[in-house]
Amino acid sequence: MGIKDTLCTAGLATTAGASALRGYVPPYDAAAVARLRRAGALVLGKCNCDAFAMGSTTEASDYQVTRNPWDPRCVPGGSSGGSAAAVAAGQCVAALGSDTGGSIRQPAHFCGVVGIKPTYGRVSRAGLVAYGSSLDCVGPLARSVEDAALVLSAISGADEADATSARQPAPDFAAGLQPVRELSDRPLAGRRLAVVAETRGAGVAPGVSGAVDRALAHLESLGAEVGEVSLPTFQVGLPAYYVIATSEASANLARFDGVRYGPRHEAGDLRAMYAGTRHAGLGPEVKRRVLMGTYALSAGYYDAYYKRAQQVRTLVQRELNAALDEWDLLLSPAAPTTAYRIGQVCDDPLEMYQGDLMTVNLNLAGLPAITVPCGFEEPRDDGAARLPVGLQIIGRAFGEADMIGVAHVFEQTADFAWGSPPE
Amino acid sequence: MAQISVTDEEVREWGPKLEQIVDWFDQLQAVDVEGVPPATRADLTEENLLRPDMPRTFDNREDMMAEVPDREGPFVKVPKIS
Repeated sequence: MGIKDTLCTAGLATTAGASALRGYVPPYDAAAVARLRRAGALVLGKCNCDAFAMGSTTEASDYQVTRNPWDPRCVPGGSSGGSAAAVAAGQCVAALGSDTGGSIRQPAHFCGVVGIKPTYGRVSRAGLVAYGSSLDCVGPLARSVEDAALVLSAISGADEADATSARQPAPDFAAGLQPVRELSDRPLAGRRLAVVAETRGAGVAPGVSGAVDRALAHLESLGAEVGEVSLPTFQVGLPAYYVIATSEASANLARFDGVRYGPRHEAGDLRAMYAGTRHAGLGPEVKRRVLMGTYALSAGYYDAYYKRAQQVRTLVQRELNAALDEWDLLLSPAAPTTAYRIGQVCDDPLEMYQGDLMTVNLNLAGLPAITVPCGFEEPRDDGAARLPVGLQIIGRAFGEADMIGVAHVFEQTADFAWGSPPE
Repeated sequence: MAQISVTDEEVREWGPKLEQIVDWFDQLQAVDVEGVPPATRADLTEENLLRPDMPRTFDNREDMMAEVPDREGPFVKVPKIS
């Protein structure tokens, strides 16, 4: 198993992709890692990520760039880009990632693997380097839905060390997944699925829309009713997410001050030590987010930004839950485009943030979602590789089993979506 | 408040980007939030998961203290506030 470097591994360096934790060796395992070891898994190593999980391309790692196994000129997505790339390239059977605004689901889509963001609270966050504590989820990436389900089962469950951990007992998510030969010819008969209307149309690359349309037709051929639902708050969830995430991050990253761990900037007085340590340890994207979050929480701006974003969060939650009262599962592309080229968006933060449109609202609402490979975007120019496209399936709170069941049936029957990166 | 120092070059380079993002945050002002309670989190479970109020000793103190950049015995050492 590969473990994203935001998860603590006892005795094995854990940097969260950041200079601020260069050389840091935790004295304990994250809860999810400990549960994996108890289940017999072997930890092969740590996977690269955007520093402190802040990014959508893994280019913001303070250590190295990770390339997409499908096309090495492209990014693997982020922030769990190293995990997704390692799984896609066959370097490990499965990996753990973390998802605050899409950081498991989008890299899974960019790298053609399965990624699950569980319900908030399903998996303990103990030992996960915190980014946005009300949003962070730990989850698996793997090459099949069944493998991802097995890993999810191993890591799920209540944990006394995480006060936001849910008491809900975790079923065996891989039980009941039928082999394809046992499926009827309409295995999804009676299932009611709805595409989010706001995730179709002009903002989505044609290669992604085309592959998702094909996936929807396939779901219908399996017997599902595929409708459409409109979520008017969809767009505004994106700035609400970034206000909340940066605000929570500004508090969570205050601990990186050189006092107890990580490289320390030597100075004659305490404040100079803090300033120098953080100047050297926090990269530009991290610094920007901490500054924005501090601003959004400051007296005079708290009501206009943070409180207002939390109110929008309530509206997003209500709308998604209402849609899931009417439909069993919701569907969307996992992101508006396939994998960017390295260097394409890293200098334009706002453009990079827009790419999170399809994923952030599920973190605001705490709902589970899975990315399952659903096809490819044909090459953009001669000699280019084809790039994978992932379908996002969204479930009800604590409804991972249902979501996984449908994803498994889709995967096992959608041969047009099968494939591996070139050697 | 953020305890982050920025160089003049960083101010020049990031200023416009940060302004652009904060302007983008202003989309939130257009939403009707009259009477809508703020959600601090997803609030999917009824109760808080409390644990017994019993202290537990962390059994790997030495490995934890080995990470401290400057220590004197059991104490973490830092420069004075001036």
